Amino acid sequence: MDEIIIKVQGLRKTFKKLRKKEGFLSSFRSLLIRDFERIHSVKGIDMEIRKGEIRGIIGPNGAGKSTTIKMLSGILFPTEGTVDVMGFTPWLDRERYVRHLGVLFGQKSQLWWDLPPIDTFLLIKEMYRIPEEDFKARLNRFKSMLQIERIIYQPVRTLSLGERMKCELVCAVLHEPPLVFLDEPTIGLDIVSKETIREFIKQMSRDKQTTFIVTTHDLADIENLCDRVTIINKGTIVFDDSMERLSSYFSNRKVVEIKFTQPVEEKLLDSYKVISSGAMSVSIEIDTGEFDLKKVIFEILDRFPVLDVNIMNIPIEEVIKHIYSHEEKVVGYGEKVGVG
Amino acid sequence: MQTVAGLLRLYVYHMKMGISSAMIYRADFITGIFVSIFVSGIGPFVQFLYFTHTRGYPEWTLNQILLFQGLLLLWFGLRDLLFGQVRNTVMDMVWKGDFDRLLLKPYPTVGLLLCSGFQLHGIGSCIAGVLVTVLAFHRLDVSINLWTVPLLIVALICGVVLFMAITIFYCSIVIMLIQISRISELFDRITDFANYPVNIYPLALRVVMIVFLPFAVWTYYPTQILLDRLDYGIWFALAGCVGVFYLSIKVWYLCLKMYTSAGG
Amino acid sequence: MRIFLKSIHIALKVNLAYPRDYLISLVIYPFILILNIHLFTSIYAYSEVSHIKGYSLSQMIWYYGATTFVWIFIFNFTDRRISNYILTGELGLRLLRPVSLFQYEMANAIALRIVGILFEFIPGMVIYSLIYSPNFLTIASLLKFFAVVALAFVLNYVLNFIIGVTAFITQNNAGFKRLMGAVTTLLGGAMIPLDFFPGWLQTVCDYLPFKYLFYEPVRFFINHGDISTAEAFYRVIFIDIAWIAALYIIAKIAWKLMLKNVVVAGG
Repeated sequence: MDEIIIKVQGLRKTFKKLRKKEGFLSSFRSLLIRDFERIHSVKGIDMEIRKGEIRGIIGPNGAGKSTTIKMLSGILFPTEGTVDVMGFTPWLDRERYVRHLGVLFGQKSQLWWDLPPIDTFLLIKEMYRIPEEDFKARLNRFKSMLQIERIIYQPVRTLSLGERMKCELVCAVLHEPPLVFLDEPTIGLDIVSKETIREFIKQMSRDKQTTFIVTTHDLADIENLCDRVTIINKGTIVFDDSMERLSSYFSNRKVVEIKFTQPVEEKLLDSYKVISSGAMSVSIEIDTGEFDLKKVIFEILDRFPVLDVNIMNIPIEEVIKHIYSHEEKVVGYGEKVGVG
Repeated sequence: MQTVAGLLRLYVYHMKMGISSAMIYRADFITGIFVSIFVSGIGPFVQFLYFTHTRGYPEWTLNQILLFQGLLLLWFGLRDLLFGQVRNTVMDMVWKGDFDRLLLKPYPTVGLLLCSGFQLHGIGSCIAGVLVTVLAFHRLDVSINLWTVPLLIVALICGVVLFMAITIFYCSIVIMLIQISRISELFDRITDFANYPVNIYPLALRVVMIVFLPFAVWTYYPTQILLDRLDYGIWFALAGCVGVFYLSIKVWYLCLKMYTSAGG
Repeated sequence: MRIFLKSIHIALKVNLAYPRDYLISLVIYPFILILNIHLFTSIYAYSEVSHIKGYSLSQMIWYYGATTFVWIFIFNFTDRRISNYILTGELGLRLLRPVSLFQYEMANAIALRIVGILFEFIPGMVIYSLIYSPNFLTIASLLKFFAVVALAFVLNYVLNFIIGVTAFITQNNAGFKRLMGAVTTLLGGAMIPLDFFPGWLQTVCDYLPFKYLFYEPVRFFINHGDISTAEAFYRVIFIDIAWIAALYIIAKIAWKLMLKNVVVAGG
């Protein structure tokens, strides 16, 4: 379990980007003279991923996530740095390396539109030279795990989005690669399909020690799937730790949700840090380093007509929003380091 | 070698899938074939009109040019049958920004592109070509000797290799350099030069079409073989095909290097 | 009228965003002309004549160049756009606009052609002339060409509009579209001058509108001897207008029929 499958050191990528200007004359001009600007998309990333791990990678749009994934999968040469995946340097040994790699792009399809998925599966069998018996055994297993026994014989264009995504997933893992990249695997799906797909990924990780790297904007994926999370922002890693650490990121701050039996005047709540309030309810944030939680709760119970109290951690969306918007870097295992 | 064998098997599999796809829209496919045969017929018809109203081209009689047109259509058909789909695949890839996916497959990218080339619709041109060729054979006294068939086969193989090279240049330009769909028009206009016997061109252009861009192997030399008036030029043309192919592969890898370091 | 001009303005802006797509023509044109120079020089020299069917060598070489120019003036996607509206059900949305679809698409087609003329015709004309001098050209013939080709544009637009509207019958049949394209270009004279056709086929063409799309404009461009009189010019203009009027009526009828069949049925 502790075997390291991916080791990334000092990975950097700088693009030259054409500067585009508005207007008719300048588009004429740009045919002759080209202005470039340098864009530092990835600014030094170090990362280790263990075999069998399900790693979530999240970050706002344009943070350098997909550039990093592209370098890890061998599509892109880095400007600087080293990557070692199962002994390969992805971009140098690309053709041999990708044989051991499965990839799913949630937004793009590799299924043949007019034909049933089974034809695409057979194409993949041909491409990765999967022996007949293995192919049959795997397909049978995947069919029952994802409940797609019937639909793989129907033309892709007649399938629902969820059914299609399940088949895409099969395409990505049919050759049983030890490493799989999933780019937004649950985008646009209903809750049940999402759940099936997540279960499938977990099962693969348990049974075959398959390592998954998942990029997503859906926090439920992260919460229900990933062992560890890497948050990338502005080209650097700003958080890299276990899920528990992320959810207890603000361990000294709690949110208290209170329901009242009758309306409470807003003014009376002024002494608390109110996050949101309704006619008969309010959410308050309490810094436990500053106040004693027990005392505050008792005080509230005392002063107001309380129906129900609920004490929670700061919601994970809030944590992530905080991490995205602050330049603070939280490297390694929980220690905080200021940047610049 | 193992890679080439793998790619060939992939090609055959793609071919099967292409046929199944076409059979889903059977009615469209069949009308398409008839339209193709009719549209292909326009070329020989236009040539026929020129020949009946003028003296035509030097060194070519009406029946000889009919044979040329038949072989030309046959070549168009074969070309589309083998690699007609590549352009659609490439344009599709460019629109969807899907080229990266090819880099994730355990085969040479350019091989995968060519593998996706089979297009059943080419069969229309093939049928028209066979019809016109048979007609020309009937009206001409074509003598077939021991060398005719092997030479034709070699010319065909080199012609396919040359067309693969042209397709690779096309892919390089469209995917890596400029995403303009009209590039295919440019390629068509350049290969149009192959639609007429090379002897109508001035010497410089003739040299280009026999040695440097040996379009002459597609139709001109096969016709000359059948008319039993072959010249030494064919050896330059055959060698030229291999040379152009080698160059196209070099260019592709150069572009790929640029692409993977710039990131699309 | 103001809405019409405004539509042209917007469409112009959209089309000007990608000048590269038009400028590629400048690389393509020389190949077309060079091929024709060699082809016809060879045919004329071998036949040992100065004129074939009334065309001098330079007129014959330019015939195909002129065909491309006529394309630049008349080409539009109206058929594809309208059939798309109908087949995707987007038509309902289009009908909500304050300007009729006929006018809206016309504005679009005009804008598309203005860009084409600026980026393809003018530079193309310069390039062609540098490669092979158009010694037949006079200012009068060029002006007549503009008049005839402008009408050819309208004619082609109305034809395309009809083809687009009939999509509710033909559906999305690629074979039918290709056939129509081939028939139009062959019988319109874009493949070979109609003078080469056998007599009966020329008579057929006389009774079809297609020759007014290519053949007639091209003959004015290359200043063919047959049409040098004022009378010939007015005759072509008159027939052009008659065709446009007749087809416009057909277009209106087809449009009404389509609305009845598509919109009432719920698209």
